[in-house]
Amino acid sequence: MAELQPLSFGIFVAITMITIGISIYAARRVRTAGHYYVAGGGVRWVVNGFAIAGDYLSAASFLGITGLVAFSGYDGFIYAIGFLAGWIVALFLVAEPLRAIGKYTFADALTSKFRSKKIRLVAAISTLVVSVFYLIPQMVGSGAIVGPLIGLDYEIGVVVIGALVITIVATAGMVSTTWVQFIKGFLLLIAAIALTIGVLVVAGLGPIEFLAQFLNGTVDIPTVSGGVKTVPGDVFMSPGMKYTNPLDFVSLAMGLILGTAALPHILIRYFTVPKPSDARKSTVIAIVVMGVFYLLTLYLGLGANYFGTLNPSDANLAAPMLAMYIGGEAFYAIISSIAFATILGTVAGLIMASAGAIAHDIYTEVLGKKTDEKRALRISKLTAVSVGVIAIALGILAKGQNVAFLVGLAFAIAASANLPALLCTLFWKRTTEWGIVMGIVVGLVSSVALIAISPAMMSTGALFSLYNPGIVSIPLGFAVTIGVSLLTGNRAKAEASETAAG
Amino acid sequence: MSTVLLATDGSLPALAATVKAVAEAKQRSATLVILKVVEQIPRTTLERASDSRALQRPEGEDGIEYAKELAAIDKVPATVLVKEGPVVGEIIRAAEETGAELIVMGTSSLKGLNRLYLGSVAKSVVSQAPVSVLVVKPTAGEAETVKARVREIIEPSPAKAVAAITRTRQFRVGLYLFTAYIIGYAIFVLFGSYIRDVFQILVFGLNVGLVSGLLIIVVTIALAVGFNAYAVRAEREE
Repeated sequence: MAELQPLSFGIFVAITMITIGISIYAARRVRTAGHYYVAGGGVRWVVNGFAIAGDYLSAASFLGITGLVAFSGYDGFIYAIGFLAGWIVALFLVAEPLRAIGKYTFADALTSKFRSKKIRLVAAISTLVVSVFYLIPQMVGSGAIVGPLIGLDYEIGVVVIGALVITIVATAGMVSTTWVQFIKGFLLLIAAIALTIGVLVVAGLGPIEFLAQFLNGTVDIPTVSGGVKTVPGDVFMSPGMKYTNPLDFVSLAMGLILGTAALPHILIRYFTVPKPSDARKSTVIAIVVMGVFYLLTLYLGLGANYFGTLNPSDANLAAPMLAMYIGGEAFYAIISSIAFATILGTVAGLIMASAGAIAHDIYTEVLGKKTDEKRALRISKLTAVSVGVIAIALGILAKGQNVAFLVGLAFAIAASANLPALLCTLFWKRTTEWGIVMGIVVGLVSSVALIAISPAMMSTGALFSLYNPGIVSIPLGFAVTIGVSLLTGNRAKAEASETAAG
Repeated sequence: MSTVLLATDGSLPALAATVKAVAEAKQRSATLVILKVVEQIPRTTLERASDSRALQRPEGEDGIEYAKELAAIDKVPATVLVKEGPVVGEIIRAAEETGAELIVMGTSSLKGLNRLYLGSVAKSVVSQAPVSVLVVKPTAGEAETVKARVREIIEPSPAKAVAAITRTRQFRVGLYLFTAYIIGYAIFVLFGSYIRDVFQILVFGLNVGLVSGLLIIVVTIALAVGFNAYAVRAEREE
């Protein structure tokens, strides 16, 4: 690929060094599993708010949405809206009650009521599946960014990101992860604001004017074959460019709004603050940061289209290429480095969630290996390293996949498998152990199976015509959780009364 | 009716004594009098901190709640007495006033300077008390059991913890706002999928689709900030 870029390489090395410095510094304070998994529960809500934004605003948000808006117009914007709208579920339903019952992992919250190993096992598996689906696009994004940025191959980029993240999570776990996410959330917001101002200044248009001029005239979209597709502006700025089937639009919108509050790597951030009210306050900080950010992604994507900074073979590069056009190489290097830090923060969160599921949920709780604090800590770190290595391998295998699209699938799986279990555990008294277990299993299996037979995986003759399984698998997850709870609940009650009568 | 007097300060030995006191009261069919004495000696913060550390007092726990819960579980009638003054004198006085037939209290093995400085309340009570005194000195193993028990009893069950949040006024208000938001989002999605023509209608120089999309983002931010301001005020009033 491109030759080594001294300036970009310098900034890249600086970010890397800062990250490692933070991790090693923070590691001195980590002595127990509580420190490792949830930073001792002592993170301040403002910090946690930015860290949530830093955790959530992944490569899919920055690189993915910008690319999707640049190529698909309004259908890319729906991602920005849905990604943000999902936080309403977290704010009003999940944040505070979850903080009241959770400890280290998503499975901890679900088992608080029944202390069931079955629930813990399926919740841990579901955590792993969702996290891996989320992880792959992050690794793909890292390879795509690091390649052109410093002149390294895709594979080396993935390995570099993987190695860095392993350093973060294996030294200080949630403590260093929190700081990396906090700094990254802040930087990303600044980057989006700077880029948007750049777009408007260079275009010489006001914010409304800029959007309005797309509606008059035509929009050019480069195609992979090297040609240019020209579409009327009002079509580009309306739904239907990508999702010609209206049901696809509905399914995606549903998955996005219901998936957010069920993503394990996001939920564990709530365990790092001291009180339930802090969980709410940090959600509000995160919503403000992300709301501004998502508003700006519309301008970034349209800006990339406006100035023609598009690479049809890799839509994920629209944002850095836009920075190159607007501010030259230095700006390009800064934006790319922030994109790189973005991936770092999100991947660290995902690996924390996965390591917690394996080391804390499956090894310690389900298999019942009683260990002392020191050993538990070592096992957690070892697990984090292994998950990191697996992530590197998956990232290399998934080269060339669309980033925002893959993340959309992770949301649908989370919404189908985790959300019914979470909401029923919190708010529905008649929920039973088997209701939760079956709900997670059916939600997980159905969403993954529908993805496997969707047009995304089967190019011809797909058995399921929608790209996103949400519209089928989410209601199914809820139906099974509630249905099985009612069935087993009645039986339990009947047995109880029989015993009483006998 | 006879009474058993429990003197507690929330320290670990006192919590262990609480278990014994409840058992004694139950066996004797007596009322449990839970006594807490607030000392009126002016002390510096540092002194208070060193006391607290020396007595292994679980943070923020004064022992009364724990004793009440334990008594309630064993269906032992209990009353609470809070006295101010010198500890030993108040314990003796309370025992006389309530006509207690037994005083139960804890003692810890203080070491070094702390032993000299704090002395032993139990020792003084034993020498001055008009009735029998049961002094409880927990072993390391017993201390662990007591700690676990305290955690179990003082920490609310998950269902209670969730209920404490969901029954607040602000949570209910949040549910209404949530419902309204979801309906708004559903209408947006409906127009975006099946009634797409509407999204192309021009308004304010933009189209309906863009305006409503931008509106959702702005409303989300405003809703979050506004709700938090409301919830913070509600929490302060509680």
